[in-house]
Amino acid sequence: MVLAKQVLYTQDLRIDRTNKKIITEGVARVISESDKNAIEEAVRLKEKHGGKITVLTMGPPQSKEALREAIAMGADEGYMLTGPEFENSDAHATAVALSAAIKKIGQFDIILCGETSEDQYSFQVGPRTAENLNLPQITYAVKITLQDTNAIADRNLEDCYETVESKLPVFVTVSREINEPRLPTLMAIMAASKKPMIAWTASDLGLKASDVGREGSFTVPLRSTVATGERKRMLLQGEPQEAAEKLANALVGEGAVKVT
Amino acid sequence: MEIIRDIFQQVPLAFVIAWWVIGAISAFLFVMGIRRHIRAWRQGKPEEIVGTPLSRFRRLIYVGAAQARVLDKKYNGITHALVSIIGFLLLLGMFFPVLEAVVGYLALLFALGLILLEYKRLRATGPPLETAWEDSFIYGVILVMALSGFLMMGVNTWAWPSPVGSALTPIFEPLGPKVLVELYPSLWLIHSALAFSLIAYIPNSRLIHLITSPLNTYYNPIVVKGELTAPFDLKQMMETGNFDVKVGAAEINDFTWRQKLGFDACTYCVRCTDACPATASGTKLSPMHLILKLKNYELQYPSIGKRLHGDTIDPEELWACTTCRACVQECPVLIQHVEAIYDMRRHLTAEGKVDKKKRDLLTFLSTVGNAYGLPSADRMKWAEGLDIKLWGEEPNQEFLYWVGCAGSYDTRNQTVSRAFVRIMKAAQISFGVFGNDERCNCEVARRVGEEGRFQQVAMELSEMLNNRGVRKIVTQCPHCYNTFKNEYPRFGGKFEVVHHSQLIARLLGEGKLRLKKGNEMTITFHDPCYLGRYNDEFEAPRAIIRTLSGAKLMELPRSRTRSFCCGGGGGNTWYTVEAKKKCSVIRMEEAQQLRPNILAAACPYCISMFEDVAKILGTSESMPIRDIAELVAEALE
Repeated sequence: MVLAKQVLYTQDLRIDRTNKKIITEGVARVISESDKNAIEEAVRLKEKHGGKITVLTMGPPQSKEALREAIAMGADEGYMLTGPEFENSDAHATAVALSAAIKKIGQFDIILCGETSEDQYSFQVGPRTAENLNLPQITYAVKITLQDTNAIADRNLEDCYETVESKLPVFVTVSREINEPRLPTLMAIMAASKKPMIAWTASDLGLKASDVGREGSFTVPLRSTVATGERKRMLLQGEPQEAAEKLANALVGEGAVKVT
Repeated sequence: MEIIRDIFQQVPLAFVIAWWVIGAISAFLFVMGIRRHIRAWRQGKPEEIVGTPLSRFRRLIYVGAAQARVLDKKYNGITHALVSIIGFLLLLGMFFPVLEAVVGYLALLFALGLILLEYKRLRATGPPLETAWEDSFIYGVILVMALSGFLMMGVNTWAWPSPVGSALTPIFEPLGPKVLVELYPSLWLIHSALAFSLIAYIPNSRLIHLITSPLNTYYNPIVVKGELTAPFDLKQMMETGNFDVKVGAAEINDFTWRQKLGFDACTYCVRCTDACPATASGTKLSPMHLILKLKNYELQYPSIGKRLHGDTIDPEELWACTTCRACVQECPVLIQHVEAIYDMRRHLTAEGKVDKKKRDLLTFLSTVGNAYGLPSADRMKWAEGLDIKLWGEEPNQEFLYWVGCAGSYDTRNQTVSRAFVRIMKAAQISFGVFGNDERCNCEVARRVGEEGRFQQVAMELSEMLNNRGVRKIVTQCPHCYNTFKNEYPRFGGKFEVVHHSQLIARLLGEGKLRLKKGNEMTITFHDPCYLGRYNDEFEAPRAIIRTLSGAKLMELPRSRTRSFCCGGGGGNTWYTVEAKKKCSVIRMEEAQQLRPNILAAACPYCISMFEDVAKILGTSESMPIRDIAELVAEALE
């Protein structure tokens, strides 16, 4: 099973300076990058070991496109949690909804999702969901192998890699470097419409409005600000050798590089 | 005088029987061999024959009988024509005594052609063909045949009264008439047996092109050069909801019978490979070898036990193609190399077997609508401070100026856009731009095999252009130009498309632009593939250069239909192919040899490619690169 989220295409985001809001109009919606990696990894595991891939997403009705794309990549069926009750869910409320849906879907050996979403960057939804489901979890996976009833995974801990083993079923969040996700063609995405896709609301999952959405959330965004960065605009001139030396000195001077 | 010659004159019965037996065996082997080929073609997908029989027959006469394309190369063309056309006449001469008097002379020319061909083969530079031994053998057999023919004429002047025969007679006369009468039937049988064995050998050798080349020339679809075949109709599929279609060539039998006949028509002449920029730059692609691999594969399939993709054709070969069409232009038997490459690319793309750069490119096209992956809202940044009207902002706008992704986002090409705007303003052309509503017309998506995305965008854009009343489009990008002009009509586009060079040339011709007196300078022009070879526009840019005061046009060694691609077409601008020496470097060095003051181009890809190389070669100042629009804008009064 794969959890995937549809996000706004961040490279095309602009900010309205007058009200400090993100302009979402006309911006494409895509599957969050590391979720694509999770789907790709699921497809590769299926190619190797067989099985069935279910994709689960939560979001506005357009999220159906994400399901279609995931199916075009190789998934077998899709579920989406949609409805006004889910709006403004934080990581906690989202995990509550997702775990309720996973329980309802039932059978699974491995649940994969991206380490974080490209819009919120909370890194929390995966681990929280795993905890709700009382599953062993492996985070930041860069390699997964299945052996009998166990999963072995390498985790990227920035300064080192750690190899861990867990019994199935297991919950795994994957990093971007785990694979290069395939790009489905438009034809494949269109053909995916024929595969089963089911939409559930909060009540379908037996959740109350107070369990999810803003009411069910622990955190509330107070305000958003625009981060601005000023460039130094330094121009270093001279022969390559000379300029390189100046650049090195400047970088050290700015504290960007440490000389040990 | 009889009309049909009795070829069994003066031959004893035993020899006649032997003749019939050898003839029958050869005919049997020939028919069986040809069947193998025909069976292979017929396993391909169906394809409707395009064009009227008359138009195709006319082309067969021109390309086949008159050897029009073969003669593009002087030495090889003339020698080939000597052997093929005269060989055909000699065959007729066998049956029609009317030709008798000239048969001897024809045979002399024929033999000369053979010797010249073999001479060229022995002297040939470059890697030898696998068929070198076989070719020499075939030439040898035909030569011996010709020789035995001469001997027959010399021995038997009463049956073959020809001047050449008479000249040879004195050599044989001392043998006495009795010996001669006995010698003739043996020579006759040797001559015939050689001919028969060649016929039997045809299906197993490159001589098969005697049959496949004319067939391919005849059956080749008569279509617009710049339009790719559409493997499916997305609109229809959306209406029916049935998307079950195999896209592209995953297996050899996913090619159509006509394509498979085409692969089989290859004559190993190497002209395509000699012209190919991807081969010249040392990539894995050689168009002739690609076609030959397909040919051998289709004849041995399925017993060959190898896959088409991976085992037979390396994906690198397919991605190395710049789709410049030089191979197709050169092929004397009309093989469609590029079409086959597109079919195989489509399969790779459908299977998701594309590298990160191509994936990024396709993602950019579907998200931000440009190949650069830059924000869609930044499309008009090039025009800041220029006072350019959007389409529909003014009444009666004549042209929609389609800036294109490069003209909008690439800093180097933005200056071309600004120059072109100055020209249109100076000539008081009424035009508008789409601004941020412009998006890539997905030419490049189609070229890397994402046909669905292309068709979707083509339908949407065609509808938008039609609805917003666009009747004429002008663009500086030959790729946009070709796609709008030749490919959009199928998806509903109803507009006239002109390349900026055509519009500028027209404006200059009409005297609507006043140019300053300029300094003496030499300019060489690089023909963009999609303007020249694809759309036969060679004159407009040259006319512009000639109009510039003080300018002298110098032609590159390879120009017009023989222009050498910059390396940027077919999506190659957007990904990297392993090469020993980039196409753009080869072309820039060629231009440098001429020592022109300026290298002119008329395509944003060419300009980007050359500018990159100029930095490496250090020629930015000695041979600056200019778009023709920049040349004219700089010369405006």
